[in-house]
Amino acid sequence: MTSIEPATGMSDLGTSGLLERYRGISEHWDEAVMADGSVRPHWQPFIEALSSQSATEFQGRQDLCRRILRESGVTYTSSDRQSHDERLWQLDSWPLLISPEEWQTLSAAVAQRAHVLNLLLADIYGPGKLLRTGDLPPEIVFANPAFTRAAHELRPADGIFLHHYAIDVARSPDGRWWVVGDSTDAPSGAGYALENRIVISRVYPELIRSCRVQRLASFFQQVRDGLLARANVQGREPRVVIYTPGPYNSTYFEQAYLARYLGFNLVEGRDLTVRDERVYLKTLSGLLPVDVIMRRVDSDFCDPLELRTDSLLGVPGLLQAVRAGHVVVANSIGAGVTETPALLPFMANLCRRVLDEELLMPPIATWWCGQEDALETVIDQLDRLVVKQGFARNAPAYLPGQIPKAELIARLRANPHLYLGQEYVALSTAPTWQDQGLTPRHLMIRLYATAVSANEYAVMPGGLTRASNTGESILLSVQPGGGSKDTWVLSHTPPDTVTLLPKRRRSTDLSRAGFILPSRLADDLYWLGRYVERIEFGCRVARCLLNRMTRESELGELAELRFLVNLLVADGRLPPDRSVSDKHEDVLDSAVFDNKNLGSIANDINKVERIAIHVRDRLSVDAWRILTELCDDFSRPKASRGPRADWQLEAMDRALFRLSAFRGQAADGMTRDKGWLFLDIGGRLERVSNLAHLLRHALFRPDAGEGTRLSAVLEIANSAMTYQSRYVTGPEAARVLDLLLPDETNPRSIGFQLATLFQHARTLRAAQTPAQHTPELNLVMNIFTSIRLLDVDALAHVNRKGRRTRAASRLQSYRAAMQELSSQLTRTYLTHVQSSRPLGEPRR
Amino acid sequence: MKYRVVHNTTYQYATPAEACHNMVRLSPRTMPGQTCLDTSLAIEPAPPRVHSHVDYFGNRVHSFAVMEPHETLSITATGLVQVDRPASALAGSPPWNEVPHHLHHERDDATIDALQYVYDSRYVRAGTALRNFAAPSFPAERPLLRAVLHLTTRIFKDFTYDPKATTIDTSVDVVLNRRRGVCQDFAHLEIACLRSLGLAARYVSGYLRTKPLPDKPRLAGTDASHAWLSVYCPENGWIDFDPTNGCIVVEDHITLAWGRDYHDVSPVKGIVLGAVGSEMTISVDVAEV
Repeated sequence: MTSIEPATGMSDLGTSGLLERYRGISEHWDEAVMADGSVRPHWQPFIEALSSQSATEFQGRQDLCRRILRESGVTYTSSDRQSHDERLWQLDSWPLLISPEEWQTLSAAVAQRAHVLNLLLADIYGPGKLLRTGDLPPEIVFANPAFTRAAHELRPADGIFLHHYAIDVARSPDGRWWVVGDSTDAPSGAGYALENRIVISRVYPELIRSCRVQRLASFFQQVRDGLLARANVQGREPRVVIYTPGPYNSTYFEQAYLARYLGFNLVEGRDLTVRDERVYLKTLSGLLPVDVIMRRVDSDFCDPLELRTDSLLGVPGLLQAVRAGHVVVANSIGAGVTETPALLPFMANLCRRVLDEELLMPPIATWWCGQEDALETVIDQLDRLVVKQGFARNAPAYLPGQIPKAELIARLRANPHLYLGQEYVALSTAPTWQDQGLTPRHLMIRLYATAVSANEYAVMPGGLTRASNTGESILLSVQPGGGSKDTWVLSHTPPDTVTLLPKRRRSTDLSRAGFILPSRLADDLYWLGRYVERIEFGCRVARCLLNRMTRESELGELAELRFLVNLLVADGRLPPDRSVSDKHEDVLDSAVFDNKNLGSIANDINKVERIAIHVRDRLSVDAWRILTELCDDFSRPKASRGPRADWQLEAMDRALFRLSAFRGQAADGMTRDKGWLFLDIGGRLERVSNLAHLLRHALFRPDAGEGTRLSAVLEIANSAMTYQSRYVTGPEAARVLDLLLPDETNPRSIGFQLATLFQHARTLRAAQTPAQHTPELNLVMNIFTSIRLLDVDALAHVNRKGRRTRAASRLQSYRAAMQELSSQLTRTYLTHVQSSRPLGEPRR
Repeated sequence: MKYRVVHNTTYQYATPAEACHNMVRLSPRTMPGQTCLDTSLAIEPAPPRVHSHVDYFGNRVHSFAVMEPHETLSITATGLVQVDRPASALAGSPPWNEVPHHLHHERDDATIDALQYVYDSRYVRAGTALRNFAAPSFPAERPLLRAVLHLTTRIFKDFTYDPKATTIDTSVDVVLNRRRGVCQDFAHLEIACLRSLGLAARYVSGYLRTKPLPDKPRLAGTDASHAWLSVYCPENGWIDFDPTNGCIVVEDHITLAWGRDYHDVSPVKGIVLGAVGSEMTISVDVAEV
């Protein structure tokens, strides 16, 4: 196998030069050029249009691809659950072109196959005739863990089990296409194909038109219309949701992307609840009925009551709702049973049985070892076949010679039904831009179909082409998340005029309301707001302490340090046994950086990380990046050089800088919807609580050190500058109280927070129950009014025992009110958020 | 023999549960040798509705949800059952080693249905150790039912009934090594042994009579629901064996449900929302009437 080296380092040779040098790999089909190097006819318009371009221009297009992907945050997460390693989606600037004639053949084969698989599912989950006739060996169903007995007889009214279907195809050296595998449970990738197209449309804005590339939009409209049409509702708009396993799933980006594109809510299991055999979305406005669930969660995880008990992603009672016919799950639960490659050798016969047609596209040669003849064939040919497991997803395939032959034969003989033997396919290649030149890379295409009805499937005119990362790869599967290409299906006629974005929207459809906000999201945003504020407060106290530690120690500052350490203890950042006599760097290590200390800032940051990933959709790309960096700072091993207090101080400065950047992003980059409202409410509420706490500690027992304590307070409350601009003398209790309590011009004052909370409570009420005062509005109004009427001098009054009891109790009441407000908000808006677990199982 | 069965399951929560979803298989089956004359289900707090369907294996399932805060949940199933199971003729069964081939090559409904009980399921994984353990009971040409009874008796003799030795997640391999467990474990173990030999075996949940017949010892597993197994015999159909008591099942056992293993047929299961900590108590009374 030889590959012609691409032209490298020739920065300004015309493309004609690049292309003339491009060759495929011998004994492999190349999609663009023939063996003699001449360009295939359907590639000619594309090549000709680019013939005048230089390598620099090509590199520019590749760079543009990468930039757009990065800007849009297109990612693919490693499927390894341990590492949530995100990587940028890889897209080659050179598309793959498919001729109109070839597409006819391909799309007919895909539609036929989807149709056959749907009929198989109908039989497997219904009468089981094919098992009895032996056309479908019963072992392939019975030994298959994807066969979901709980879904038996859950026959959808319109006969559609397979709503969305994906198929991997590859081309052999003789130019024929072969089926590599089917994806029938929760097929992924169509969203990435769409995203690829949107990026490439920006890279070749004119060319994509002049080459007559078929558009993808109409396919997605069929997906959307299909899902809406499945709903069994009368008298109201049907509601469709996309059910995701959540942000830790490898293709979460795509799910979120499709949800936005199709205009459906993206929901996790926790967002749904089943009541009286009906599925509801838990939202701020109450429970909203759900009619159709586009499922991206594996079947087995969908309902902990009937399927996997240990599933945390599921919706208890979902199957019962399906059974009652009140909700349609697409694809139907258990549809993954037809994904097994053990089925491949039987498809031709099954197609004849159920459709009375010849199968249009053959699978790569496969022998299922559950049949005695096939087992012997596989054992005879172990030197040239790949051995795969039929029912274990992601199980390793054994290449010839990978494990000792005798051992493999023993395994095959012990459990023949679990294995199958498959021939290699020498995958075709296509020109791919790499290292400043064109290189042939092996590829496989994933094509998509969606059900129009039980016996009609629409095929997406395009696909997700995945390319190998190295020229050597002749493996059967291309690594997921490797390179990808946009797939251009060419047409003889100008493409249809359905536009991609924005879709189907007339001016009367303009919507400013955005999506419904599920309670879970509101809850997550609320806590995100609270934790961010809590972290900021903690960092400010820590910085204040560090500033004083690193300065020359002066008389009276010891009291200040004691005050700050006590504050950390009172805030729960430190266990009560820590005292001012401990080394301050140690105290800070524990309060700030120690993950094992449950009250530490580092621990709060972990919580922020966990929450943020669930609300990522609601945050801007920049806001998300800032949070990630904040979390990274804390998880990174601590710097070891230099005095400890110095880098501790630096870490606090950096954290506060990031927090203010995040706040700026939230203020400037988020739509003012209810999600933002809850984020902001969380932050304001926490700030009132922290400030009240701070002031109470500083003011309760006035003494000689009060001045320095108050300057620490001003520093922590970020109001020192304002104070200095107003008063020449040092901090005095009444003035500090005035600045931090009733002064609504100071964005750090309690009064300012309450003014904002008051507005927010009114906005919430307007959406909820007009003309009524909600409990949270009453609560906020009471305390807001009392602050406006505050007599600061009276509050600063010191009683005969030398205490400011009045101020202390007033401040304490603010803190209590915030606690009450939090419970009230939870009761009114967030009550549906509950965690579930299986009931103890009996042991006998 | 006619029995009245009263089976109560009560969950007590440390903090109130906000809601719970439940699914129970508590109605005795009607089948050859057993007729369910009457059955009822009482739930406290009463759910707005109780739904009922028949599952893949033919078991009657009731499902319900309690969507209001509650501190206890009590489920009581009552049943009246007539059991007239004839004793099986052990000698008349075919040599066990012919059965696997039969299972894979006959295409009648009963055999195709039996075939699915040959394969691994959630709690039952076949393997070499299990096959080796079973081997002494299965010399070539021994009639199937006789061989299975031999194995059943061995498990009864060699294993100790010990509720503390295992949990629901203990694998059959561990049960085999420790030689201890409860009826659920012994049923899973024997099923795994039989499947390791290529035979079809299913899990049966049900009850035992509480009071022994005169002159008979009290049977183990009477204080709660019980479990045993059934093996498919090409000529005789499904025949039940109880490894916990070392016997072939005749008239002391009342069948509730069957499936591939416990996961398919657990009598009571549920998902609770919001509660912290739960304590479960079970009582079963099986009286001859």
